[in-house]
Amino acid sequence: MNLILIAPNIPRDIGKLSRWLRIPELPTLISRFLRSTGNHQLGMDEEFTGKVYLYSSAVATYFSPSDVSGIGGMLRERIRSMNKWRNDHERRDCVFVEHDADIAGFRGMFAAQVYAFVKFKYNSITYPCALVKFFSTIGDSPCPNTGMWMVRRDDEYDLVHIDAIVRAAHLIGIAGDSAIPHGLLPSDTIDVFKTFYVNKFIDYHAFELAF
Amino acid sequence: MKVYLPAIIGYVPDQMVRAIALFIEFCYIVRRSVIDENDLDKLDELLARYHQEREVFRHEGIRSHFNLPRQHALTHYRELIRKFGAPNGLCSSITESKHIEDVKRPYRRSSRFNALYQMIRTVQRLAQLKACAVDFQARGMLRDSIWTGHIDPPPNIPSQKAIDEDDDDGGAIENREIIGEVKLARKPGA
Repeated sequence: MNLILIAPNIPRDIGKLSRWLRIPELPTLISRFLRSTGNHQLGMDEEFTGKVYLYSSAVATYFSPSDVSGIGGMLRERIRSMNKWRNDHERRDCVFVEHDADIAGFRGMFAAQVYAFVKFKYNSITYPCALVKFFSTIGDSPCPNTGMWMVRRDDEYDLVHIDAIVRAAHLIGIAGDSAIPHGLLPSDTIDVFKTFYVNKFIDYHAFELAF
Repeated sequence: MKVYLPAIIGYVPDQMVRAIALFIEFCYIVRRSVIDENDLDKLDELLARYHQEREVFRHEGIRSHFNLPRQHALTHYRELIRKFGAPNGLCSSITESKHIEDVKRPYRRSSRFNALYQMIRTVQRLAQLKACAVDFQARGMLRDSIWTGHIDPPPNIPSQKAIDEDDDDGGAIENREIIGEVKLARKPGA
């Protein structure tokens, strides 16, 4: 009888996890994050060596700005970042990350794709974070025809605290003049397209968030 | 409509894309539960631009006019929202349900032979009956059910409201300072 390995044990050691995820920047990013955050900062010459736990999803709960009253205004959704979704394909969801709460609309936010959710502890403070790649906007205003922002993916990984995440985002590829190949799977579109629209029309909350 | 624009851009004139984008924006603002003065001004602005951009459908020969009931209704939203409040997701397709009453049921009632004339007569007679009922009510007739005075009233059933008041779960949430939050899943895993 053959033993079938259903799920490999996920390493908790920072170096091993970074190799398991195939993201060699992970230790550097965590150390850099700890140097800039919190009261008990990591020293400049220290490296973070503790355990890092990988999570496959996070839950966003939020109110829509135009409808804060009543039970109907509250929404909840799960943001996923996993190797195999429903035992099938890789799934890495996109999110809105806030960088300036005073600026309304998409100008105060970034779109980002989550490559991993990680949690680690330093000086008895727990930091739930998301390992992301940001998208930079193309131009400084939305597309004049569709009214949606256009973005392009950055090359560098980044680590953000999950408090900065607002909710999941819907990015839809800009096809341009070329035809989309027939066998393209929905799960691959995020990797195949180079540029995306930030779809503010996906639901009424996104419409008030990403204008 | 959610993913429509990126699919058509580049394949139809840009002005059409703009017209549809403006129309969707209009719909999303009207759909809100709370509509303030700024939103109403925004509606006016969107509508004016939409009327400009939709002319492309006439220029391209797709339509010869825009005298359609639901297109016309757009102009009345501002005034009616001021009078009656937010439509709150009211569906303008409600008129479509008349199709059942005025087409489907009369057709089924007909003998299927020269159905149109039979249907028209059915609809006409139903309308007359309705108008008659309204007239009778106005004259003080048809007030009560036909059973009134003939059978005993039903026993007291506790009202839905009394049942609801016992339930104190699911009350309003006090703290509204944060508009949203994100939490990790309970268990780690891949």
